[in-house]
Amino acid sequence: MAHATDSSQTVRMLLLSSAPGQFDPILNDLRCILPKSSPDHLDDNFIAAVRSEWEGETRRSILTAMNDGAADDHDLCVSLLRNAMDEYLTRKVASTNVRAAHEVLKAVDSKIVITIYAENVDLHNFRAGSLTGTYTLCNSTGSFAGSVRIHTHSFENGANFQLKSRIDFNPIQVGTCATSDGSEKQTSWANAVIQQIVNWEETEVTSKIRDMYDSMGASLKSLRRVMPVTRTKMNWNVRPHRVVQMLEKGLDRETSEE
Amino acid sequence: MSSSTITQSCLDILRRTNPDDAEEILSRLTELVTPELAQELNRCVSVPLKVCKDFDNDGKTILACPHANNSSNKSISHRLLKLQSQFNDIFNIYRELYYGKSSLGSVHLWDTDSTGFAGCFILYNTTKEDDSGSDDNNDILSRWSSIHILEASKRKEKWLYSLESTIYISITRHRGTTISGSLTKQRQREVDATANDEGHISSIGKFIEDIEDEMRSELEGLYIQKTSVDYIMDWGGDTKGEGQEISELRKDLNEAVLARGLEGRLNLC
Repeated sequence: MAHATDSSQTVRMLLLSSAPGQFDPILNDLRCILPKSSPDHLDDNFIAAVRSEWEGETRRSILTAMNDGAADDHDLCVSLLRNAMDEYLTRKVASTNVRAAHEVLKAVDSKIVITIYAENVDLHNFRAGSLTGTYTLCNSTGSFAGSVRIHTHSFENGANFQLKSRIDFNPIQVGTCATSDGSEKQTSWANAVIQQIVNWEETEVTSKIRDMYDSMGASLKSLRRVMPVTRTKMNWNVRPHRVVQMLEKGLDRETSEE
Repeated sequence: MSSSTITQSCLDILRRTNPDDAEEILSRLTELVTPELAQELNRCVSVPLKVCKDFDNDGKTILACPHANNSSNKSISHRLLKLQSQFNDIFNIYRELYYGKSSLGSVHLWDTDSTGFAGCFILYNTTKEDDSGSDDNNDILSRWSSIHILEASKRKEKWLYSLESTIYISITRHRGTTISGSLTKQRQREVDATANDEGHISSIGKFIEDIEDEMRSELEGLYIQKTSVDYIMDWGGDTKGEGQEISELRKDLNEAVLARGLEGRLNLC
């Protein structure tokens, strides 16, 4: 058996590589492998720390956080964006299976960072997925850029298939928001930012992912054909192949003699 | 905990983590269990194939497969050695027909304790796709690994073949998007015994070809489609103002396409 420290590192690595929704099932499996009677059993504090690390990396922590931006509450732009994001997610998420949350924070360099996290964990139907969108807005220049990470997992009938995608968006201009602007202009700016997020997530991301699935047939064919070029299945009778090999050897010998 | 429960837990973890990292995850899991269980796990789990150089043979490129490496420590009779050589010749033809000349494959046989034998049949292929539109023209690699572990045992005038087949695929497009997965199936087939060993080549070859065809069809029509974002992230809402009717139509179309894929799988069965 491995040393306690090595076991901890192994457990940490296995938990951090969980697919969406799989942290707890993997933890239960690890508890079977390393029960309380084992010298390497899993310490509750250690598991809590790994869970926190996993939720931070995937941004799943947003689902349980209280959008702790008390310091930004007086920032008009941040408040407008939060309200607009609330409205957007309320409209978008009608299914009871999907959990989604957002976070709007002002970064140290005065940029505004918008993060969206959504997941659908449906283990009874052997599927789960998550989407994390991270967008950075520079209010002084009006520049807006971002990226989306998607991770889906299907594991029916003992299979294990996962899609992992990171799509980056080119920076665009969305204008700026000043406290001296009228409320109508400010609201319009916030809505324009959200509309750009909608365009990125629902048009650009969707079309890139769909392109990939549409061309899946060609990708698989280049790895393994459905049928040989001859359009007939392989003849596994040894003798014809032996005759062909003998003929080829004979031809090679004639060619070399010439 | 019983050893079978621990083994099941390890297999469950493999199913819930990244299939591309299966080799590393298996290696880490074997560190957590007893040496006997580690050996059992290494015996029953197939991981993606890797290419390496055979420095004993002029640096020729070969496939590294743990099952095949284990077989080199096992006994192989002269008769089986001849069968292995014949298998490799005909398996090369099969490999080129379905996978192309640049693919790799090999067959390794060994004697078992009973009157039969066992074998490992492996196939590997990669493709590179230019990410069109990118400035630095990076190639993107997709991979296919087939690992077929066969056990053949004689029962009176018949041979029983037990086959466990695992396919690993990894398809990368647009440089930031990868679909990877693994699928394992187990089948048995009984055939009449023939006077010579050439009957094994024909029977086992067809068996492997049939199961690969079935698995490839399911990969494309069913399992890969089920990783689609549209299928999994069903938001249910309406942000484009399309109206409920269009949203429901889209949902119905999605379900119809998936049902068609399932129907194709049932027809094959």
